[in-house]
Amino acid sequence: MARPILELKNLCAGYRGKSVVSQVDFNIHAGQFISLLGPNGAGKTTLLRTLSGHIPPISGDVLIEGISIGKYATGELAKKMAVVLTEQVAPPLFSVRQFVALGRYPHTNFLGTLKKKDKRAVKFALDTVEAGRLGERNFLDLSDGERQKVLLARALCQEPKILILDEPTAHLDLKHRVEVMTILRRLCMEQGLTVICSLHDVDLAARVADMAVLIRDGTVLGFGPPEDVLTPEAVSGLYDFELATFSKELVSIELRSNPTLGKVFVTGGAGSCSPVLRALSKMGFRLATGVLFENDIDFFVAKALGAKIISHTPESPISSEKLAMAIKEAGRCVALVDAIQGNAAYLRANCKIIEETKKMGIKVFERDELKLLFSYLARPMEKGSDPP
Amino acid sequence: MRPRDSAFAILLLLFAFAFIMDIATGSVYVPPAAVLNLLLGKACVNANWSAIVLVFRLPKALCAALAGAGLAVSGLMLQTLFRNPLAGPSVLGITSGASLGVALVILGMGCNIRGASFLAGLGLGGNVLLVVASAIGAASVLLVILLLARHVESIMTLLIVGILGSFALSSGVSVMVHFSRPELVQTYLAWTFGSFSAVTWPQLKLFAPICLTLLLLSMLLGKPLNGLLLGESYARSMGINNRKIRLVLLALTALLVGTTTAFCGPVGFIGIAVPHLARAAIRTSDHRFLLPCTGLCGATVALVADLIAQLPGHTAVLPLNAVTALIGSPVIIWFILRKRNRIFV
Repeated sequence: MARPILELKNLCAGYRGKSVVSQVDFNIHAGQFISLLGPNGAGKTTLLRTLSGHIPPISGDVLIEGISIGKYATGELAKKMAVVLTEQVAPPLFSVRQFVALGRYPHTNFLGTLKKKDKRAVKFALDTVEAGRLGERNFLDLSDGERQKVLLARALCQEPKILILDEPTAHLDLKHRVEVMTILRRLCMEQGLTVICSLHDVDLAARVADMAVLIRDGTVLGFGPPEDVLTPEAVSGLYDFELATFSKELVSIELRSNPTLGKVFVTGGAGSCSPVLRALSKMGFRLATGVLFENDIDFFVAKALGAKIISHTPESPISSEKLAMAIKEAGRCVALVDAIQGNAAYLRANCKIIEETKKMGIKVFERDELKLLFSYLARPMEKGSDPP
Repeated sequence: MRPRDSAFAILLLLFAFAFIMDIATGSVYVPPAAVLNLLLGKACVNANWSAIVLVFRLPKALCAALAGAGLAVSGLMLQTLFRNPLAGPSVLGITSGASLGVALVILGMGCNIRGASFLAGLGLGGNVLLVVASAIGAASVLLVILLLARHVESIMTLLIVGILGSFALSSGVSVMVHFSRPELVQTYLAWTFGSFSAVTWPQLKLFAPICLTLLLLSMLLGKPLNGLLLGESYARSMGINNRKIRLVLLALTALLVGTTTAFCGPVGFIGIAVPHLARAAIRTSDHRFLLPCTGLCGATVALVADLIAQLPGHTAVLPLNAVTALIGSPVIIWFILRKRNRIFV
């Protein structure tokens, strides 16, 4: 394997001799997309500022292409690395094209004259971020999303090998968030650019990053492919989740509400339970569900929502034993929601649960009757109102 | 022709016009055509005109142009360095340092020498003494600033220290004024009004080369100044050595302001107001063009201010600072009220 483009050797980063992040020890290879994850104040920005040479390491070292960062002249470092920071930039009376051209700084002569080559680089950078049509606009008149893309173009104009971004998607709407991430991903793939950025969205990071770095309280808790390091436990520990769970299979976060209402049994499968489970969880019901195969998406959603699950291995058809367990569980619930969709054989077994529950005198609701269910079950719990 | 080029052409014409008119007007009116002839080295029918123009008014106009350009350019460099539209040559305390130096000479020496004879001695000899005094005052402040700049992390700290330091120096002057005789105070006050007319040919031979050299050096800083517009973090990431460029900018501006103040007194408002005028004129903040434009605007404004201060047709002269403030304040107010000129957030 080729030599890593960036090596962090037992790095301790901080300000004025006061350590913020310590014992950082990993390598980054060219063309990788690295995402730093962690709560505010964990030390992500400090680490990034050390990598970009803005603050010197307290101890340990950062090697860029094998050479210590301290040995680079600022001008040489600027050709290797460019940054997009969180701080507000507002140069007055600059067109977007002029602004992006500022990124040519390390490549132009003493007077900053823009040659043909520089103008090509500016155009290329603007086209890369799909902002070519913004060229003549005033920089200060841009929207947040457009501005972020232009800031990215300015950094690309520097023709760096490493791009460091501090929370590039903060303040952006969904459209621009997706756009910026897609552009960064493409730069990694097509131009071999190494991207290091701090992100707040775990789900986004898991989808774009080759490597995730988990940082909390100044310590690196994990480094590796997001598929490996982003486990429910790791993410909950990273952000102190109490009522949320990161689902590794769904690569997203499910929110639980603190249940204040009785337990509702939901039966169905093959994706039909998930929306019902989420809706009931939001309303404040405790949840039970079954019988679900352990490779069913409903199983993963139910697990992330903290539901009681009667599950079954996908290797064999639903056993009568599991069915009996589900019927018993449904018998303990205040209501049942019939979320069965379609007529697949494995779903027919769950129909049995509905029949048995009806016999027990428990009210059964259809999937589209959740509001009715809510008013039926929630009202009596309000003080001073009469039961229906 | 691009709009920027035409703006430059118009400014150049304005400058030439102001230069000739400044020489033409005064207590004695000399027709502009005669001025032009004299400047081009042709003989003139009227010997008086020749003396007025070449001996008195030409050095004054040259001094005004150089001082105006110097003050305006240093104002621009400081506004960009501090990322503050209200920064100007006075914020670093250089002017106050020069004032203290001059106050020490006029008011302090007045204790020993008879006031009247001192005032009388304020011909060329007294003038040179004032120049030296204010140069020493400005240089000492410059030294303190540069020493401080090496140790201060944030440029904003330096700005605050500079402003507070100016107050301290001014209060030193106030104490001296309080204990001085009225006629000496009058002399000192006259110096604080600022004037371009005190500079004669021998002094100009010293002032012009220094000022021109500093101005030319400033013109070379367009690239790093553009980088600084993005703030120090971005500047560094693009390869700017912040500490070095900070020292260079501070030294250049301090020398420009110090020299100008030494020869012309503390001329106010040009340094703050003219950079805004220049930005509005060429509608860009690209310092590669903004620096020369600001210099040209500064020279023109100083000439116009001097022209107004002489009250054409009268023997009386207005205080120069009153005139620059008269032009300067409306410019700043107009500028702040115009939304499209958002300079810094």
